[in-house]
Amino acid sequence: MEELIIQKIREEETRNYGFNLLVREYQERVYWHVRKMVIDHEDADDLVQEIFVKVWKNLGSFREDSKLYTWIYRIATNECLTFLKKKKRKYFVPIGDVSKELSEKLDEDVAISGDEVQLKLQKALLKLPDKQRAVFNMKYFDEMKFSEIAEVTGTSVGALKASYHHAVKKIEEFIVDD
Amino acid sequence: MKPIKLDDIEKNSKPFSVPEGYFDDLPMKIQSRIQEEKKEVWIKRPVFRLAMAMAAMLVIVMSIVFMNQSAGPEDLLADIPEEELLAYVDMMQFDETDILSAFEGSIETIEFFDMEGFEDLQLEDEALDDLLIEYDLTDDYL
Repeated sequence: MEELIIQKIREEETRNYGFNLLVREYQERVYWHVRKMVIDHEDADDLVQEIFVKVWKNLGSFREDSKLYTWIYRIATNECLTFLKKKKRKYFVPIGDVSKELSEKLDEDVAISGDEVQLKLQKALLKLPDKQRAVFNMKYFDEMKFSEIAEVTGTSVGALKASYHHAVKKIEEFIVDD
Repeated sequence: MKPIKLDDIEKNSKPFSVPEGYFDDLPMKIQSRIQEEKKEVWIKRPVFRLAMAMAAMLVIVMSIVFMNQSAGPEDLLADIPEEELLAYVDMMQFDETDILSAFEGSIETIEFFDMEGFEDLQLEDEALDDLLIEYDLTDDYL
């Protein structure tokens, strides 16, 4: 599918069609990646639209030596991290307060609030720094390879492995302490 | 407390609630957002801005021309009550020379007036000559 999409977006006449295929192929994956970072659906919805607008605008700069979905993930991850950084700056609040706000949003979500273990896991994740959380989500939930995450984050595979294992350790401690 | 391992937890990569039909509508929302962006990009283009500036300029020029045509001295005076006009003339104490000089450069206008009024003008000969020369009336007078 990725090859077909790239082929379609490469040609001017079929670019719209190719982009439409791209959105349908990746919208769910991008949404869930973003949603786990920003927690709130409205924020996630707005960000996902913004991410695909950026993808559209930058189709010309996509280099075919990288995978399309890691390129999209890179844009999505950057947008999420920028959004969270702005949120902290905007309200002049310490990082802990934003985590608390997101944690309260978890309690309001019907789907997760009924699942105690999942709720504890997501709350523990919110205690991680945002970039480490993004790395953890890509490895644990999306089951991406470290080499792919390295393409997304621009970090070395070794550093990512260390970051992930450290994150797992912290999460297990947070869950017990909670 | 018994330690909990991440491997013991059932993995759920979609743990939150999403509005029904959300993913069916999302491609349309993205498309319309792109259309909006395209419009904005077009509006920001220098050609569009120049066209808008020229259109605004044209409207301003047309407005000035129209206002000058529609609001001549007669129209402006028509809005002032007659008593106020008479009071103004009285206050200014215009004499015949002032009134005649108001018609400077438009001799045709004078011909519409009742020339009888000129018989009563109490002007010095020199002043009268000046007026006749100024309004090119010397031939008619003689």
